Amino acid sequence: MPERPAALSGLTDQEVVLLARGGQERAYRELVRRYERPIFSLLYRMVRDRELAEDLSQDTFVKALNAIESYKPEYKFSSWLFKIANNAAIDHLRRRELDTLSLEGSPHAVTPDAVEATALQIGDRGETPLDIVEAKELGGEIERAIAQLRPEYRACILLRHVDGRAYEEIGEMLDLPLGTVKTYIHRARNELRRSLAHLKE
Amino acid sequence: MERSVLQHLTPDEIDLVLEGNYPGAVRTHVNGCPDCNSLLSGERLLVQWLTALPLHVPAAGFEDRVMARVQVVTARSALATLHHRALATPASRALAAGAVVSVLGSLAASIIWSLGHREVLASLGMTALRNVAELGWVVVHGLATTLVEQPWYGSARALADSPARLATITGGLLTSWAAGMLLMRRLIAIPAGSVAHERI
Repeated sequence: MPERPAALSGLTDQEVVLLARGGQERAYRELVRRYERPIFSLLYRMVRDRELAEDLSQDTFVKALNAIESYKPEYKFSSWLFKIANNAAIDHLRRRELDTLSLEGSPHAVTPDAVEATALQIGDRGETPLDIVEAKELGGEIERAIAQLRPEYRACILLRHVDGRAYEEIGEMLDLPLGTVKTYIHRARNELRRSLAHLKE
Repeated sequence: MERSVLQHLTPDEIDLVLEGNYPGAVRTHVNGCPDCNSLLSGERLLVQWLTALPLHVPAAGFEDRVMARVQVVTARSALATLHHRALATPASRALAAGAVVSVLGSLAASIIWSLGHREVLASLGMTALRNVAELGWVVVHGLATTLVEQPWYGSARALADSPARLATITGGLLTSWAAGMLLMRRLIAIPAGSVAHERI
């Protein structure tokens, strides 16, 4: 990953957006660098297909950055971006019904390369081989359980506990009342606890 | 928080505890209720697992692929920037509207006043015109007097008596002036060739 220019890394999102509106390409790139992982992670866990998640992530950034002039500074840039990403995921899931997550790759993959490209990859930190295997098993179980949730529950639980967003912010992103967000998250946690109860032992 | 010690944890209370707020009444209940104790420890473990989930990384070159499809906004003119900033937020829009109303109001007031005081305006205008004309005459007269009193005035007057000589001198002066302008332009011109730009 190329080194981030020191001049932009210390700026807030609003400040970088102002620079982008002034025509600075490096400001656009800074916004992509800041949010590519969180956006891609959300979309990957929502649609459960790596290639598709990449396409949706690209579409999200392209849509947001091409409409940077219409972005309203009184809202958080990240909320706006995540809203676009979530809408893209929900639109896709409504068009296509996807079933179970596969650690071994998408069921739609036909070549070995496609299988590898769509297989869930986790545990990129420098653990030992045994750590990696154990982390993969645990992580795989958790990812599998998340994949079983309804899309609305899944989006809420990911934004809340993986991205660390506040309830109010999630409500803004998903256009849901606060009470509904809390209900979805509580229900999602209940389902996940039941699915993962065997791991607690 | 008013609650019965016997009341099981509500989802909101679980959220509070997970965020680090553990009210005494809730703690008392949890200590005495195995079900809520188990529920809370299960929730804590689940949240711990979820927050530890790694961020997935898109394939290398993601940024470049995005930028290949993005149309970077071109830098606006100063007027367009001013227009955009003036209308960016409700406060700036209110300020801009106030300024416009003030200017239009002042204009309307001055027009109305002028229409009601035409004689006064005419009188003021004539006085101003007279003063300017007098000042102009004083300046011209002063310059002419100064010129005539110069020691080289006689020689310069003699030169002007010969039209050919006058034309030659004038042509020479004009040519020198034009050459000087061209030289200045060459000296301060921005290079036309490409220069290195800072690009990330």
